[in-house]
Amino acid sequence: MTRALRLAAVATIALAVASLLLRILNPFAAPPPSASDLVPHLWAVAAIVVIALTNTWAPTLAWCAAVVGSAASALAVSGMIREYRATNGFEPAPVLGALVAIAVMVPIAIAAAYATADGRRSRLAVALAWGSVAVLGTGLAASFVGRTLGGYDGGVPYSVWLAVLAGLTVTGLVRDLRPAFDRTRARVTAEAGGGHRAAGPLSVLRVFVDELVPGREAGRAEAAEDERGRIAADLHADVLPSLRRALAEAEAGGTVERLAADLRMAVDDVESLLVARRAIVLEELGLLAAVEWLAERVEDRSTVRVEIEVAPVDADGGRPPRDVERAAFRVAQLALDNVVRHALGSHARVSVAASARSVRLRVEDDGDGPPVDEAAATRAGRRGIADMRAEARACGARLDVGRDADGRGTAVELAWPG
Amino acid sequence: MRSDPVRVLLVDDHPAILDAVARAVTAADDLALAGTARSLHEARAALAAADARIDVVVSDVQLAGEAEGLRLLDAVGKDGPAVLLLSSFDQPPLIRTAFDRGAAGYLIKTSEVGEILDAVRTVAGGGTAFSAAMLRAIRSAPRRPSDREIEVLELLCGGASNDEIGVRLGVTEKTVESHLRRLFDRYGVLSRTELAVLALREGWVTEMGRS
Repeated sequence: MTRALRLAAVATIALAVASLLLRILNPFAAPPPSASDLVPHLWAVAAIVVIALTNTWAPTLAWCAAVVGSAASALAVSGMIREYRATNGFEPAPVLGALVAIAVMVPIAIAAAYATADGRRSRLAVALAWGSVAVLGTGLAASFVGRTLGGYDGGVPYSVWLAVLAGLTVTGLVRDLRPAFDRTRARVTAEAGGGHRAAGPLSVLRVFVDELVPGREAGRAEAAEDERGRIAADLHADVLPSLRRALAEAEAGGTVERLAADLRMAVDDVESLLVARRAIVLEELGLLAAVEWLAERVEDRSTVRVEIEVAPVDADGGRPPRDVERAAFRVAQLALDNVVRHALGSHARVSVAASARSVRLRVEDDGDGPPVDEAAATRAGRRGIADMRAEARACGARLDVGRDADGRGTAVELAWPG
Repeated sequence: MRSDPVRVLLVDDHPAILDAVARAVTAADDLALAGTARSLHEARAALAAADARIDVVVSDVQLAGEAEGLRLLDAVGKDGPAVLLLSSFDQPPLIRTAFDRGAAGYLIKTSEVGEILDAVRTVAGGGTAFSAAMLRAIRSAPRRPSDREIEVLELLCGGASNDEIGVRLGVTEKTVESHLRRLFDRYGVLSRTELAVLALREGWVTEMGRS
């Protein structure tokens, strides 16, 4: 939680408490409150709960809750003083008037802080935000002084107050959501595939909401970092040895056949690496075709047999987002790789259900089951499951690893949305 | 007596390959270079030109990092010129998809220029040129189908539809389609008939109509 947001939360809570105290202590000597008088206080309490729940992972929500909650409290307070004026016909004590003026300024200040917080300080935005706070504050102070000295009963109209509040909040929201919006546009353009069909507003909205998932950016950066490490490790472990062997063979004046065999192996390794990263079958033909092709490759290169089961899905005809397809493919690949590498079983079953709205991919084998201690397995260099989790996390999917239905073997399941 | 030369449009984003094939086409008496394009966009423009008169399009499958050659097939359509695809990918699903989408041929890029010109002549005459790519793609010795796959093949040879096969085996129709696609790709066949003939010839299925 940033300092600005913490201050906003504290101010929201303080204002909520103050407005409740005013209601309970009742210095205005108002008649007992009706149920509808309590509604703003409920809003404020709900907003505080939202802030508490979301401040660490969804600052946007927490900020909006702070604005709404403080605004509700401020409205409650100003409602009380209005009622007082209406019933008594004169002003309350100056200290109460000053309190109310300050209360009304709190949500404005919070919204201004939101509009300019967290390293988004363009000078213009800061000047506009705090300038409007100053103007509004001066107006409120002037009307307070005028009322207290008597002979003045104007004030700052609600509509102006609301307009400033909304303007500042929207400024903050736009700045907050802009990166997600840019990512959405990039993704939608990429998924439209060269633009022969435009994405509908609903699917754009879906991608946008998906991009808003908190921590998505951090997860992506982490996944990219992991990926670089894996590529380096794979090059080192798979490609380099066969190239070195070919080189040694050539230098020793070996036969063309041996040299060709070594080079073929190197080509095969590079191809596998490429396939793992960017499979044109996946990009062009989709997840199911890619999994079928993967199954064929596994059967070609090992004794493991892979059966594919395709679940019927609602026929919306669309494909899932590309990053989800890639993650699902990668999980299938890593899971089957585990089956082959650790000789865990001789049969694997892959179940696929994919549509534009959901993906479920399950890989089961008939081996000895998952590693009992996942962390220890990861430390020992068996990164398969950790990598699968990283892939799933980066696209907002859930990954479960456990025993299969019969309690034997390993079952890995990716489900999106998670 | 000489007939009109076959007019060829070349599409490739690698200038070196484009040049080499263009030179060979120009040098051949029975072929004429109708144009070259470096992208799907340019290819579409060349095809749409009023005086295009193109008989054969030779296109790379991958243009600008995308499988745009396959999209070119959709742009050309059924009544358009024959399309011969060149690719550095010999992955069976791509070859089969090219066939399904109406390509007349699919060659691996390591093919000699002579082979490419021969394939151009074949597809210009209404033939197809897939076998070389398929043979190369099926490098490893084909393995025997699994028990479940043999069940699918038995029903297929008995004339059952995918739907019927699914009902008989208690799986979804989509699962049956998936089985068949893998069998097509593994054994390098492009149709159900070819697959059935292969299954009978290899003895995977013994009696016609059994099931």
